[in-house]
Order: sequence, then structure tokens, then C-alpha cells
Amino acid sequence: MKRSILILVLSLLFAVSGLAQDFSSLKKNISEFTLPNGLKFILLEDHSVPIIFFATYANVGGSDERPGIFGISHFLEHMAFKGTTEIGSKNIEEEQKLLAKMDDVFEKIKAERGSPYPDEAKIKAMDAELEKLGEEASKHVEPNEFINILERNGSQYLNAGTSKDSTMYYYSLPSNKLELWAYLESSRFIDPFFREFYKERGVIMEERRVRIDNSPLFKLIEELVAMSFKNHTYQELGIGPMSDIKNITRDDMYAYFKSNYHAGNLVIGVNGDVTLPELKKMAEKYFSKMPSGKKNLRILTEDPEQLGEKSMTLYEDSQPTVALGYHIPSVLHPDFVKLQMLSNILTDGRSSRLTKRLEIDDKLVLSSAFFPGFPGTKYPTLFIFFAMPNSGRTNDEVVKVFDEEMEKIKKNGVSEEELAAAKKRLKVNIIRSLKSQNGLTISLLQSEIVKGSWKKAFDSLTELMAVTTEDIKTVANKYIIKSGRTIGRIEKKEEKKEAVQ
Amino acid sequence: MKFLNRISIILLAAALCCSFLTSGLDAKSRTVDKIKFPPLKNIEKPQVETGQTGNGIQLRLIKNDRLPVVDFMIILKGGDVYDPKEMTGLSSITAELLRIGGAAELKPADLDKALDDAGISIDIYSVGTSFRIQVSCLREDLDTAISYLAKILRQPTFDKEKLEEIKIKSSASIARRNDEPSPISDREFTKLVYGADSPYASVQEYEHLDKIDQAAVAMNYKKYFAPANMLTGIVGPVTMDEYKAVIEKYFGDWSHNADIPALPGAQEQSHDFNIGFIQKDNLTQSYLSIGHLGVAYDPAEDAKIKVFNNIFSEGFAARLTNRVRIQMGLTYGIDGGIVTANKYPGKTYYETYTKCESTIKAIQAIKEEIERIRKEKVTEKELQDAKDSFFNSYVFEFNSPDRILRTRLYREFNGINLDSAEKLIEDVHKVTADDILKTAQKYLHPEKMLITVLSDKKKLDGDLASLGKVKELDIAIPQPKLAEIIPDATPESLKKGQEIFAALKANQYKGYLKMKSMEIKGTVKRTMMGNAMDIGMKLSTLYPDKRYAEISMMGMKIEMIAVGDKGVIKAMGQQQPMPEAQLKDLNSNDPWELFNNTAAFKIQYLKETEVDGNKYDLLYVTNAKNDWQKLFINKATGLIEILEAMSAGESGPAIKRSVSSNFKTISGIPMAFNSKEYVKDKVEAEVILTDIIVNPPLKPELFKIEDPKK
Repeated sequence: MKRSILILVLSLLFAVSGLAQDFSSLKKNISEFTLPNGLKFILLEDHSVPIIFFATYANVGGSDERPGIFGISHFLEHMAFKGTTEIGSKNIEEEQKLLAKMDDVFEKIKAERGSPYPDEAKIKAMDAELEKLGEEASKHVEPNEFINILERNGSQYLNAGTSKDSTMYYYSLPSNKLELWAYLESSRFIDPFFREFYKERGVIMEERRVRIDNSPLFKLIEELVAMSFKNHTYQELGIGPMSDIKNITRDDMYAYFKSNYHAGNLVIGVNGDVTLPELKKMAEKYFSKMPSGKKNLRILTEDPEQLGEKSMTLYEDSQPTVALGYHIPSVLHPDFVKLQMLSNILTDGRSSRLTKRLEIDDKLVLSSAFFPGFPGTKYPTLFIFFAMPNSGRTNDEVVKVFDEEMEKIKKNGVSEEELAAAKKRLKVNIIRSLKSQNGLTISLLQSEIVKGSWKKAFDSLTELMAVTTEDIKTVANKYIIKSGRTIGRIEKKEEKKEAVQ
Repeated sequence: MKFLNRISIILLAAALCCSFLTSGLDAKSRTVDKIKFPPLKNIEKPQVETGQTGNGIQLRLIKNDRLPVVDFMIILKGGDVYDPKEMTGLSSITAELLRIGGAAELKPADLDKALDDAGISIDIYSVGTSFRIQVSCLREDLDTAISYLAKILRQPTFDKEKLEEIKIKSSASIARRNDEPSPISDREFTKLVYGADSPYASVQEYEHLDKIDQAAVAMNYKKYFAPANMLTGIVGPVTMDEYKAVIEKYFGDWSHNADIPALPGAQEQSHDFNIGFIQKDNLTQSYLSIGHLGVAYDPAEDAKIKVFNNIFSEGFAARLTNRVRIQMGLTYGIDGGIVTANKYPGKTYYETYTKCESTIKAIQAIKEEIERIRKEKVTEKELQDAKDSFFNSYVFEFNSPDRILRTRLYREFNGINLDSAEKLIEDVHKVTADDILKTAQKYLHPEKMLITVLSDKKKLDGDLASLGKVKELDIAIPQPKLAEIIPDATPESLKKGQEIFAALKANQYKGYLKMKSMEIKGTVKRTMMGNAMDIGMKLSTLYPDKRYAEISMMGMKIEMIAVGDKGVIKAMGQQQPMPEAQLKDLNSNDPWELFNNTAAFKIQYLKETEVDGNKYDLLYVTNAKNDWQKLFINKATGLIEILEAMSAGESGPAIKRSVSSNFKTISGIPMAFNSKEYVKDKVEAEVILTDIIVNPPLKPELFKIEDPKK
């Protein structure tokens, strides 16, 4: 979930293509090829240090889920580190037998849970049985072998992330380990084995507790998206509700894996000390066996126009915080870059309008942010404003000042000078972001999946640099509309008040 | 210039001799066991060029022409750990005010705009034992960027209003520090390990902020910001000559010496408990830390500690992760280790979080792993895996010029031998399973381990007392203390206080005993958001505890209703509960309660005092909740003219002093029609009343709080 914000930021920086002179040489170092099964590879050569960054991008994420299995994309991301039938097992036949038994027990647990009056004692007994079988299965597991192999071979940045739009897996290795990557990465997506499934469920539940359930701020975000989307699956943050996390089955997982993890729905990005022929050789040797398939189509569910302002207040043991969400189109729409520029003008730097007004002139907030593209960018999404008022100041004061600033922009637009300064800052940021080619690789993959080509990542740079003051005024009037927004607030819970109720 | 250095040769040797070890399985038929790796290519490590200006500024450069941007970094000795306890956070504030407080002829806003327009970023912050400055800009703007930086570092103006801006934010951060759970347990654990008074654990409080003024910041700045204390580095398309020239141009004639105090030490703390428990209602997860004071960096021990940490707690494959996350499914993350700081003892600790219902189970699992690694040697495979991981990932040290430069500056700053990397590689080779056992025994001391648990007690899986002696830690945020020390009450001072008050009650103020309601109308003049504003106000009170206020400003009407300890604010068609502090404010300044329920207060006579030539008897009044107020009674007129109390304040809690004047007698009671409210000797508001009505008829409906849920 955190990752999706990072990707958003990276893509925001990068999407400002148009710095033609700085990108032309870069573009020359990028090449691509596709295996007969349809699996596409994008390579960014860089031989300055003998290391390679690898990223596998799956065109599936939280948005592709449905009630009952919300959170499965993220759960699957965790299972992708559990090895294969070959990696991670001391005795795969015994493991398979025990897991099949466990699956049967879990089916019974689920059936009981789904009955009108579940027998808790019965469920508890079956849970104990499941745990016992799990301990037995552990005896046949080579603990953590998949990760272990990578770590002892020097992997860095080993991680993965699931967003509403996609699932991504990545790490770096010394460049002499190219073949090890090709073997491990292809096996985990051709021949995975979802061992320790029932234990990992506990891990994911803890992840939900730490990220959302015990954080007032993330509870607020969860509520804000839930209110904002009536039909679209952007209504849910991605990790899934506890009840779905608890009830997803291994069969669900294999079925989901089968329909989403195949050559047509994955893209692989490689960046570093490797040549095209070297990469091709390894790709053909290890990835050709991957089944082909059709790329997931875009979800067609749409939300109608939001008919009125929605709001909700969370009473927490926390200082006040406010969040606003405005509906905006997806990254595919030409207005998206204009909204990105609006965000930059308003919030980038101490002299930017909104930051200056809220933090400096009025000393109203401790911190604030205003950016487009949450919880995703692939589908129509939100422009989000967040602020934490200073002590003694209120959420309503913040909203009032925010509204005033928006009215000014809607009425008078922004100055040419402001726009030019914002573009200059953006240019420096983009060039600096190229220092990390890992981020660039990820942006290319995202562009490839969402827009159909990695080259589009460069095109939107031109579009961004072409944004005019008139565009800014137009999009502000079109999208920053009170009647269609959603407001979430955290207000301090008054202990005594609770007692009265 | 690039060259093949010694490190790459050693690495090459390492890669050849500890080639891919099999995972201990017999199944050699597996593909993974058959893959052969070619030797790793030579690492071409970019060279760091060194230089120095005439006045002692150190220059380090990695020339890199790939992108037209320059990253410039400065490290100076200094920072928060050197701050006096009573001004905790002074250095962070100094760093921020340097950046935003204006420089030379540039007003703060002009400086912000100049930098933003040029796409130049300058960040200054205090980190541990250092100040760090990070500048980035396009190559073509380097001269401009350094010229601004020189103004900032040499001629800062420390604008008063900007200091206020920082203090308001610091104050908000203090108020917010218990909002999210995970920083709480970390902070409280660190306090137990180093002691709450140690600069390595100190936490900024409101009373520290009160003491930090422009003079304190300016003095602190002078101590550390001086040319010979500046270790600088650049990565970018710049030559050493160009680098030196631009620094000489803007800093060359700067002569000033730093005055850096000795780095404070850290001592082991003794506590009469070993578990600190923090209660937070409604949590579903416990946040746990376990450990004790650790050790400082020691090159002789570095390799052993690195290998130990890798096996025990670092990364996905480490023992603790394997046990608590993978095998038990009790957490999403567990980390920590023997963390060596550079010149003072670090922490040796482990931390995680788990659902409340498995708290004790998780603590026990961690303790068992600690016991195990202190008793049994690690396996040869674990040892070899850890070494392989170290050697194979070593190439990432050279991942980017920025990283190489940062590492270089960091080593120089901390006085670490620049050849320590080569030595470390040799030492890691030599580490044995026996060394790991000895390392565990030497650095992990279960009998000294402190545990902090932040949780909701009623959900725990047992009694924490089963693990040791528990003390509940209070994390309530201390409100600012009075500047003066209030002497303890004595029977004499209480008697005198009561006598003076009884005289007021029997004479001028006796009308208060018959007062059932009151209504006042008037204007509050105050400066808000930089503008002078008149706020219309009407306040109706139905004693004892019903208040209704109507406030009009900028064409907007705000209503506040308070009934007892419940209050709401209504504005723009919306209703919100009134924060406790504001509720208190609304109920303050009215002595009715004091006159009608005198027994509920402790009234202590402090002293005779003089304000603006008038003599006053000063009474210190506290209630059962320990809320205090000070009454200044004019000795000549017998009027309560000045009142001091705590107020919610615009920039966090502060002491507010109301000075009343223009007294008129209304229904036999002296009432002030004018008053000025001071916070820290600054007039925050002026109240001018036009009407005061005693015992007006008030309808009870006025004070009705509607349930917003309906």
C-alpha cells in the first residue's frame, strides 16, 4: 500500500517527460523483446556497476478483486515468496498430502462459519487440528529457502508491493547472478507452491492491524475511499477487510493465480549490467515455459457522478486531521497531467500557494498535502487533500482556507510566473529522479501496462511541460467541486462524552 | 579517472572461494544447485578527490558528468545531542530557522521565493551528533545556489516571526506525539534504556519551547557554524578547481571558530522494574521492544557483530523473523540488533508488534531465541549463508557515486579509518561459529533486558507480571509549567488566602452570591492571520454550568454551547464537539464558581506584588483537578484586576494573563468593561464590552445540545 504512493510519486515525476535533451540518450539505452508466449521484457542497460535490478510487474491488483476475496492480490504477493515445488521443500509429496488435508479442514471451518448459527466450539477444535497439521507440514519445509537463496547471493531491495492497479516484485543482484534470477523468478510464477498458507494468513492479519486498524490516520483514509466510490473497487484500500483475509482459501488462491499470472499479463523490467543478447538467452531458457494468456481487460464498472458532498467524522484518541477527496479522471485522460501541475503549483516549495497560505501565512497546519491519483491512477480516481491543524486550530478552519484558495484559482487562475517556477522545480526533480534508475524501470513498466507502451512515459513529459495557465484554471473549475467531494475528519474523542452515550 | 582498487580484488577472491553453497539437500539434481556463476566483473570505483579552502573548509568530490545536476552536502559537528536539557530540540530549531529565517538583505519570504523560482533546494537539519546540509540544483545554477547558501550560513537573521512559526509546529508535534502507536513504544523504550534525562532519549516538551528564543538560537548557531567545522562533498559535473573556486568566492573570507562541547556520555540505568507497560484503550495490537544499552562502534568487533546481526535479526531470512513471523505467524515485522552508534553506546534491542492476544507468546519466543543463540553455536550453514550474503552484496556499496561519497563523508566525520572496508572484508572471512556464540554472550544480557509493551491490558494473553516486575508508564503530555516555582502551601498561607478572599466575598463581590445568570455583549479585537480583526461576541451564562456564546466574524456566525463538561461548536450548518481545552477557556475568567462554591478550591496567599506601579495581593487558587489560576487583588481598590490561567492558546497551551480596566458597578458588583489578554507579554486580544446584564431571563432551550446523530 505504501508502495503505491511511492510509485505514484515516481510516475508523477517521471510522467513529466518533455525534457527531450536529457531523455534522448536514455531512450537509446532502452530495448524490448517479447517471447513467443507473449511475455515482454524491457531492458535499460547501464554497465557502470556490476549489478542488475529486476522487477516483475503483474497487471493485477486490488481493483480486480470482488467481495469474498478482497485482499487476495496482496495475499498472493506474500505467497510468491514461499517457494516452488522444487525450492523450499524437503519432501514435496508429504507436503502436498498434508496441505490437501489442511485444505479439507479449512473447507469445513468455512462451511461452519457460513452456517446460520456457527458452532464456535467446533470451529475452535478444527482450528487446533489445522494448527497441528501445520506443525507436521513444517517438518517437510526447508525454512525460508526462496528468500535465503536470494539473500546469500547478495540480493538487495528484495521486496514486493501490491497496489489497487498492480502487483510488483523486485530485487537487485550482482550481475553475475543473472541466471539465478531467471531461474527463481520464472519458477515462482510458473510452478509456485503455496506452502505455509495458513500461517501467512496470520502475518497478513498483523499487517492489516499495524497499517490500518491501529492507525487513526489510515483508518481515515480507508473511510475516505470507501465513501468516495460507490461501485468501483477503488472503494477498498487493497489489503482487504479482515473477514475476507480470514476466509480466502488455497483453492481461491490457485484459481486467482492461474487467471492472472501468465505471459500475457506480466511484464518484466531489467536494469543494469546486462546486454540484450545475455538477457534474451536467459529469458528464452527459463521463461518460455510460462503459459500464454490474454492480458486482463480494464474494469468497466464506473461510478456515476457523486451527487452531493459526503462526510464522516472519526472520534479518535488523536489530534484533529482532515482529508478531502475530489473525483478526477484516470492517468489516461489528458487532464491528468494538468492536475499534476496544479498540485505542484499549489504545494511544491515553501513559496507555493497553498503551502504558503496554510503553513506560513496563517500558521494553521503542521503539515498538508494535495495530490492527484489516490488510491490508483489506472481508473478514475481522487485528488486528495490532507492536513493536520496546529494545536488549537480546527479542521473547519483548514477547510475554509483551502476553499478560499481554490476559489481564487477558479476565479483568477495562476500567474505565468508561478507556472514557470513550478516547471523549473519539476525539471530539477525529474533529472534528479534519474539518479535512481530503479524508479525509472518501475515507471516504464507501469506505463507499459496502463498505457500500453513504455514509450508513453516519455510522451507525457511533453504534455506536462505544455500545460498552460488557462489549463490550470479550467481543470480547477472542472474538478475541484464542493458538491461532489468527500470529507473525512478525525476529531479528538472526549472521554467523558463516550461515557454519557 | 577510474581504477581497479584493492576491494574489487578481495571481492573477486571472496566470490571464487565461497561459491554458491548448496542448501544442505542431497538433491543435487535441482536446477538451482547446478547454476554456475561467472566471476563478478571488476568494480570500477570512482575516485574521491580531496581539497581544502584557506579557512579550513574540507572539500570532497566525485566528478560525475552523467546528469546536469549537482548534489552538495555538508556535515558539521553539532546537533540535538549537545542541546541543554532545558532547551531540548534547540539544534533542530536552529537548523530550521537558519533555512527559513531570512539571510542578509533577504526577507524570509524573498529567500523562499528566490530558491523555489530557481529550482534550488537547500535543506538544513540536525541529525544525532551532526548538522547536515543538503543542496541540490542544476549545474548552471551552482554559483547562485552557493551564494544563497553563504548568506544563510554567514548572515542569518533568525526572523522572530519565523521562530514563532517553527515553535507553533513544534508545539503541534508535541500535542500529536501520542496519536499513532508505534513511535510511542520506541520513544518510551529509549527513555528507559538511556534515562529520560539523557540527550540520547530526551523528548521535547512545551516548557523547552518556552525557553528557546532568538538569542538562544543565535548563540547555538555561533557554536557550530564555522568554516573549519564544515566537511563538504559534491557529486556532479564539476571539477575540483571549479568547486574550490566557488567555495572560496563565497566562504573564503569567513573567519570564525566553532566551540564544540564534548559529546555527552551514556550510562546504564537502573530501574526497580524490568517491564514498562503503557495502556492505550482500543488497540488491537501490542507494540513491543526488548533490550538494553549497547556498545559504541569498535573496529575490532565490527565483523563479528555484523555477521551476528545477519544471522539473528536482520533481513527476511534471520532467526527472529523465521521464528516469530514465518513459523508462528505472529507479526508482519520484527527487527533490531546490536546497533552500534559511532561514539556513544547504541541500543541492543529487538522490536515487533503482534495482536494483543499473543503478546506474551511473542515476547517469550524472542527471549527463547536470545537464550538459544547464547547457548548453542550457530550452524556452519547459517554462518556461511551470512558471510555469502555479506560478500555477495558488497558490490552494492558502490551502487552510486552519491552512496560512495556519503559513506566517505560519514567515515571521515566519525573518524573511522578510510581503509576499514578492506579490513572488514578480511575480518568477516575469519569469523567462526564460536565467535558468534561469544558475541552473543558478550553483548546480549537477558538479565538486564528491559521490555516495553504498549497495549490494551484487558486483551493480553496472560499476566505480564509472569515475565518480571511491571511498572505502568505515564505518557500524558506535560502541560507547560509556571515560570515561577509556587511555594508549598502552609497553614498560614492558606489561612491568609482564605481571609483575603472571604473579605472580597463579604464586601464588593457579595452580589455574586445572588447571581443566577449573566449576559455580556461586546467586541474582541485581535490579530488573526496577519490581519487586525473585530469579532462580535455575546455570551449568556445560566449558572452554574450552562453557557451559550455567539461569535460573529467575517460575516460568519459561530455558536458555542457548553453544558457542564460537554460542549459543541456550530458553524456553517455543521456541529462539532468542542475540544476540552477550548471548553475550559470558555468557562475561565468567570469568578462566579469561586464565589459560590468556594469550598471546592484551595486558596493560597503567595505574596504582595507590584505591577505597573500598583500593589496587589496575589492569590493562587487550585481546584480538585489541579487546574490553577492566579488572582491579583489591587490593595488600594480591592478589585480583582489581573487573572492568570492556562489557556488552549493559538500556538499550543500557554499562560494567559487578563488585565481588566474600566470597572463599573452592575447590580452591586464591580465589572470590568475592558480587558487585555496577554500571552508571553504580547497582547493577544482586547475585549471591549458594551453591555453587562446581571440576572437576565434566559431560556433553557438556548443551551440545548442536539445529538448530531439524529
